[in-house]
Amino acid sequence: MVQEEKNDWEWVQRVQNGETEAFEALVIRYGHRIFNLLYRWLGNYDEASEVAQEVFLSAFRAIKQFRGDSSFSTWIYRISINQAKNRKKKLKPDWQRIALAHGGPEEGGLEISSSELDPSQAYEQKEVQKRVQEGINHLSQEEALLILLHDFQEVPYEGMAEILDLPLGTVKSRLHRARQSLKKWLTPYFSSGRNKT
Amino acid sequence: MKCDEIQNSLSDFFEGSLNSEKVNEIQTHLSACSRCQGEAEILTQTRKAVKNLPPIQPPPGFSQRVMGRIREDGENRKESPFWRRNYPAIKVIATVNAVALIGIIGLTLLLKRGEVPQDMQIARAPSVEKQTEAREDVALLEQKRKGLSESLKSPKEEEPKVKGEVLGLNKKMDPYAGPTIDFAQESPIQQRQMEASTEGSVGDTGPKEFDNMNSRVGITLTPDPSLIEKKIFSQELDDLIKKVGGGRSRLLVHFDKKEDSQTDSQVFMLRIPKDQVDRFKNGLNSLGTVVNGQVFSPSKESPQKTIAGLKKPSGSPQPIPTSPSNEDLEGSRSDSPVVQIKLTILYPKN
Repeated sequence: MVQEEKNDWEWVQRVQNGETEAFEALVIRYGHRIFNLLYRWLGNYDEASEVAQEVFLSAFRAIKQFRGDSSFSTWIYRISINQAKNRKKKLKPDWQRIALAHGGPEEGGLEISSSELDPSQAYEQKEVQKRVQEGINHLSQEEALLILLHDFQEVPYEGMAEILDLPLGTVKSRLHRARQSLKKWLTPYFSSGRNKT
Repeated sequence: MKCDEIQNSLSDFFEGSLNSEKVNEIQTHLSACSRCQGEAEILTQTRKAVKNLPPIQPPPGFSQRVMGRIREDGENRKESPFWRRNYPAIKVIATVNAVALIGIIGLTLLLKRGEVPQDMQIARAPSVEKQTEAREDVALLEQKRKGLSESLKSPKEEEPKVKGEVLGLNKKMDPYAGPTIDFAQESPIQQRQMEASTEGSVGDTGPKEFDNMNSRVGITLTPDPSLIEKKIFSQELDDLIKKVGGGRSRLLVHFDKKEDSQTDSQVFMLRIPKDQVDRFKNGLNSLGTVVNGQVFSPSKESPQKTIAGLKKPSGSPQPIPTSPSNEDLEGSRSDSPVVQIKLTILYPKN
């Protein structure tokens, strides 16, 4: 992680020194991660694609102001969250629910799957994923973000505290509440005993 | 630990962020409590389900598309005009300038407000073409003054009334009002028109010298009848001007006599050192009645002052004297700023 940050800083400095093309290394490194966070949080492939591009464009425009006080990862996450929040404000309230009902990953883009499952298992897995995405979309904006950052993107508590500018204890307690909310949404499904992940 | 406490600690339990003592306690509880066991199982499934959400591939060529937009953006910035590239900064500067401009306009209006009282709004100083109207206004003013003067028992007691009614000082000041005929500040054009109509030529202290004046005063004076009677008013006036180091032009305007008019009037332009203005005003009060007057100045150093008549004319009006001497009075050349005074002398008619 430390080495990764060091590498990021080197690329950042090259961009700051006028080497525009060096920014592509950062886009490649973080593009996938940011796009997936936005896709799960916004619940729409096209919107995620558009916002992700805006995120990197904004980051490039502001990179001269980036002093390395935080890691590039934290910085790009913050930009992503702000951009997505702005986009969410413009979206209609029911937009996400419509998206989640009809816009699973399979409708927007290609899933990256390494496991080979038989058709029934694959179907079952799809159902679980759909249900989880529905649950995420029904959470509050902050709850969804906390769960996605920690449980989906595996950002540690400390990183989350830095990104969200919250005390560590607050991050933990809010994440716990968010999990409880999602659990409540998924309990009927899991407790039926038919679906196990 | 109770079930609620256990369930609230499950997140930390699975994160591995609890000490070994608590971990043991929770494990013991879970092995004995099927309800908490079920909760723990659902929580584990939930976390696992989120973690196992499949990563989605961004659109093909995502990074190239981003870099394309960055390059395009850079070129647009280079090509865009200066004002567009610096729009935010220009916007701030423009806003500040607009606010400052509004402030200056407001301040100017406020200053104007202070300069021009309502009782002087009847008419602006007449250009030569408007002299007839002006004469009528002067006559009306004088008529009022005379009427009141006759009804006075004690001049001292009645003084405020005279001030209030004749001079209109009791009226509320109107910030946008202009000065009266006698105290107006002429525009340079009006002044030139006036000067062009003078009876005599302008001498050493002629109008050109007044062009650079930084303060102006309009004063109307009704000479003391005793001085008129002795035919020494003009000489006294000239002496006063000399005494304060000022100068005057030749006679600029001599209003035509009219049978129905109560007064005849003459207008001079004076230049008085600014620091001598008060002395000059006091001197004027000894020569007659200062009917009204206003010192108005565009500069901060010379704030607005108002002169009011302190003396009442006594006795019956005397014959109109001859015009003041055509000899120009050359005032001393003081380095101090000067005040330009338009002096209107109202002579009562027989």
